[in-house]
Amino acid sequence: MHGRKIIHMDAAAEAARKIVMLEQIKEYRVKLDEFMRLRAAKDSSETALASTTTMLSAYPDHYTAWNYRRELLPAVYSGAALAQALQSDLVWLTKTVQPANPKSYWVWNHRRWCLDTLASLLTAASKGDDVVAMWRNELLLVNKFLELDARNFHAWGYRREVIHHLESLGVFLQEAEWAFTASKIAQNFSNYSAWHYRSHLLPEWLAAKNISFDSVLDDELELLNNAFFTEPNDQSSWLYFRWIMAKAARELDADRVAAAIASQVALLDELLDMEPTCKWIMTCLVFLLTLDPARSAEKAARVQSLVSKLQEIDPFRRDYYATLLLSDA
Amino acid sequence: MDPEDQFDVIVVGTGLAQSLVAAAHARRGDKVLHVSPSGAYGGALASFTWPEFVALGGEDGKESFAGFSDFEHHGTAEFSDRDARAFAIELCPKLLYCQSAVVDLFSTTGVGRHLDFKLLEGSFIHLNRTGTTGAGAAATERVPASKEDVFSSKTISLMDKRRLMKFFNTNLDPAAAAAAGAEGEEGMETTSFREYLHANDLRDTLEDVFAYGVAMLTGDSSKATASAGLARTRKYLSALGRFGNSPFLASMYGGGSELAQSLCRVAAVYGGVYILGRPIASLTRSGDTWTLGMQLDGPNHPPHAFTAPRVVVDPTVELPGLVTPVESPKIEDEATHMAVLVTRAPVRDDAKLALFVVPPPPTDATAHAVQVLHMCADLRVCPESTYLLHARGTSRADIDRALELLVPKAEDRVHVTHFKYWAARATAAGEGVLVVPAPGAGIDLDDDVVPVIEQWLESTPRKEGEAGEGEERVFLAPLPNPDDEQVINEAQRILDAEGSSSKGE
Repeated sequence: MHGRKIIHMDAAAEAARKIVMLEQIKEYRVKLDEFMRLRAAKDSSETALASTTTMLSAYPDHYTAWNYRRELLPAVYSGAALAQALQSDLVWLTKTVQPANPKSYWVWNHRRWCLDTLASLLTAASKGDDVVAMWRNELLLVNKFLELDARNFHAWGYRREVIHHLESLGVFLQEAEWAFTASKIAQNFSNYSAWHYRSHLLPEWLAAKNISFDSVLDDELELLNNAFFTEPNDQSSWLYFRWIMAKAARELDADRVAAAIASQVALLDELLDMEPTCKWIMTCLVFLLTLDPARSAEKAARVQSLVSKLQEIDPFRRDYYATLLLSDA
Repeated sequence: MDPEDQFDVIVVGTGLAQSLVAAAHARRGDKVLHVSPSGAYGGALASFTWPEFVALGGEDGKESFAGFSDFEHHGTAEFSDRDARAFAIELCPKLLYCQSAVVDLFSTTGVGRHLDFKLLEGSFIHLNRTGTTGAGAAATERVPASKEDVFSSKTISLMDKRRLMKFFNTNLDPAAAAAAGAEGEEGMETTSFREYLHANDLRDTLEDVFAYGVAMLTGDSSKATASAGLARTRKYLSALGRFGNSPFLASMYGGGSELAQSLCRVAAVYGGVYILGRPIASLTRSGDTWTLGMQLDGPNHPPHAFTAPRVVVDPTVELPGLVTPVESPKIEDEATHMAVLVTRAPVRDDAKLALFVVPPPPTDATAHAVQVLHMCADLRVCPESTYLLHARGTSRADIDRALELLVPKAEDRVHVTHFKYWAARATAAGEGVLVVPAPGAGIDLDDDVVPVIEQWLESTPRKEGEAGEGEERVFLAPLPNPDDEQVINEAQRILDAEGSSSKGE
């Protein structure tokens, strides 16, 4: 985890820590040997299940134990009892394992597997409503994770999956999700995951609300302008900006696009005056000037001068910048 | 004389300064006796329940407490017994900058382990100065404490946002700031802070936000030098983001007394003896030795005598028969005006623990800003659904104006108490006596702690075996870390278990 300070303890505490660690390693070997013995014997009893619990409680990254557990659960239980066992696994993950390991792939995978298996069982038992309730609950859980760490990409990815599950069951939440990304961006606009999620959500949200892209473009641009005027060195907002302007160029009519490009270029010129060495502003200006299909000698000259400046301040990428030059007007 | 009654230091009063000194002496192995006639911790920073608070000032309001006087209580508030006890009202509450000497002291030594703090939810400027005629929450502007605050503001223009962020970023680094201001270090002393802000295109609302919300000036920004204003700006900026989205911490449960108690606990752990709530009969000096006479048993019994070569007192202490070799304490010519307002609704719903600054009106160059600390039940200083607004300023008129601007409806102002504070300052210490400063009227706790530490280091000869031998001198050596102790105990258990098992073989 980044941001953790290295704490220097005195010699006595250091030596003590080594002794405790060696003891912990001994305990691990004992538990591991027992687990491996059962696994090799293809034991499918409750004892084996218990050994996976023992292993995973102490070492939740031990993915072999998760795999074995997923074989054992349906072997040991079935029907309602299996549903019960899956529920208690989920509670265990929520209360104990995930708070301590919010970014473990194996733990998220196990959660997914439990939910998918549980969903099939519930559907087979004609409890469709319970399935919907289950996925709604998952959304609340994801919110909690994102409150604790708004940049946990596992949680963001999982959020998309949950939303899709709900959609396939006829529950549409685009409006709420749209508000959610707005709030996460407001909390920290360097949150690339939030911007990225927003870009996936935009077309779905427009469709759900039955409104045109045209009518929301200006609001999105205002949000973006605020982001790069506040912090021009933050990449996330520039990337979203380029994506949305390209989308506008593809989908909206030429006059509208030209007007938007012109006003954004004017704003970026003002920003460039204040921040003459910021490469993001310059590359974005080149992008916008290129996006507008109109060509002229002046434009080519402007792009040329921007590219030269970029090559000066960012010499490692000079060849890349050279590819941005416009062909003859 | 019983050696039990002989000490290295006798400390009188449990104010913050005395408690710091008691802890420092005890931690390095001195035998400390810490006494106080009062039964409560904190001295001038002590906190009061509701009945105690409204009784301050006595019959005519003139009965003083630790430099506070001229009390005027107005209001018809009535509280249940339980609610009345839920108040812990401090007369001069303090804030800690998240990056400060105090936080460093408490975190490096571990004294802070037993203390609880809350981050402020925001600080705000009232916009009356730039022509807004509104009152209440709508006329307050959040002081940005992060780039997200700047991003989200609906009142700052795009270009101003850029200017604000540039100013934040350049000025955080003193070298960069000096380089940016071509005049260099000297220029900063002659230019006013206002000129410096204008030179960076920060005017009107932004200028006020910076002068009063960030640099926390109380007077006009044309009267502060650029270097003074920038030093304070830097303190604010370096405190941002350390614990969250505000540069300020407030202590829970009534700060001053909690902090004093925590330090007294340290002194006690290292052998300090405490006698609280017993009257002092006399304090006299003969040769190199002070003798303290304390009334431990009833008034008909002779006082018990304790001796020490050094006593530590603060200038507000009044002792019968005290013979001080120092001049009488110099009192500030001007009192700070203060008020405590009790309301049933917060000024702003989004910031119940907050700082509001009402800048002086533009028409009056002599007026000063009023700082209002807005506290809520989260700090455990008042019951649920009540709020304490503590205002400080240089005139009664300024205070009245500020409170009306923030809480415009008279029916919301359930109770208000006005009073004044004379922060006593001591003159030089004499032989064998350390006169620590009383707390100042300002809001920054560093101003009350740093001078005490400096004074102690300067006036206390180094002791043999004191921590940090050969290195830079420490005021208070770190306390043992309970986590480390736990690990050491755990390791010992393991070794013992191995030892006994190998013996069994």
